[in-house]
Amino acid sequence: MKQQQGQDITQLIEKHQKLIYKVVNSYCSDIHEQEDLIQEIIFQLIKSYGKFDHKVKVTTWMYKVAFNVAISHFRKIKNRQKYLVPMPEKLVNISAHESQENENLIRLRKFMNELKPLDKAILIMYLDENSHADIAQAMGISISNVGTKINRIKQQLKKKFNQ
Amino acid sequence: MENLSIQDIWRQNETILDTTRKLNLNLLKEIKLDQAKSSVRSLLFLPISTMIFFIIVAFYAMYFAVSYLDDWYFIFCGGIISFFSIWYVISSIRQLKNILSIDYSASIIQLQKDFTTIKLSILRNLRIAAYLLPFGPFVGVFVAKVIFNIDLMNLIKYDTITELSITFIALEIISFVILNALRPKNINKSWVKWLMIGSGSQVDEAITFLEDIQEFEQES
Repeated sequence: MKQQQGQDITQLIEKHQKLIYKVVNSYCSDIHEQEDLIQEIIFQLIKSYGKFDHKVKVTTWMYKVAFNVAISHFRKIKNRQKYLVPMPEKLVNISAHESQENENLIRLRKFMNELKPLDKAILIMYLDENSHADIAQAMGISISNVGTKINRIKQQLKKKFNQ
Repeated sequence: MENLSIQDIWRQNETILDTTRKLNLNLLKEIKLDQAKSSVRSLLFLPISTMIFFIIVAFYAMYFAVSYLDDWYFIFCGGIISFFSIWYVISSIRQLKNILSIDYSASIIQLQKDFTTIKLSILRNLRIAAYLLPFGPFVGVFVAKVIFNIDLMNLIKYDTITELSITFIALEIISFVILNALRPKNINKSWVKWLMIGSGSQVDEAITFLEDIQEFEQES
């Protein structure tokens, strides 16, 4: 059973790796820190998979773990604390990509970097086309609260793009 | 700007990330949890060091009390210091339990609150210190005996008893004020922040983030 569960979670991580990359890329700009952060998220996903009760979508659960690790990391970096996640080898290889970004994407990423970490989590889930109910479940707030926040963020975004 | 176009831009981001990130699948399949050290472990230093320090103090204070069985005030000093040291040990054990049971699959708001509360454990330690404050003179008697081998009680004359009583009452009042100030609901008040000056940027950051979370939850 444990062996089967282990295989399941690695398959899930492989299948939804983009989700992890998007979260990490949104909260952390340094490539080396991104590698560490991805490893920490994968570590926490594997560790907490045993407690996952499948009452919510797998992706909602993965968002929760990924955002929780990323936001905690983001706060630590802000506080200039050392972050330690030693692993024997690199679990992920990241290459630079800035040159491929178009102007709109740069503007969107700049806007996201100006958001508070909790608002950023909502925006990412919204952009990934998650329902308000899934976002509410992941964040631990009401659906109406999610709607209000998304509207507010969209207004700000609209202003930014019209400037 | 329409939703669709924002999501289109976002999808470009996804494509870029997809081409620049490569997961080492062999390593993923072989990954062993005990090889990876979680960042949570960095939070363990404070409660573990506090626990070890106060276990030593508690044992020494008990030994001290037993060593001076003929003098009631030394027994009392040893008893008080043992009691508060054990309180600190229990508080540290609770804190360790909270850190080790952190569940990253909890809702984002809940976990971030839990994390922030752990960082504010200094508040709980300050509250215990506030309870200890009225017994400050006895701590002084203990320290003087242990470090300088001076029996302060022998130096006190009857005419200083009034002054000592006033000091005790004053410390009781200060202790009461501090305990009130250090309640979680007062955490955002400026005078509590003043009390906590010097406790580190981690605490300041935790207080600010708690404010952000409260604001985030209240907005609707």
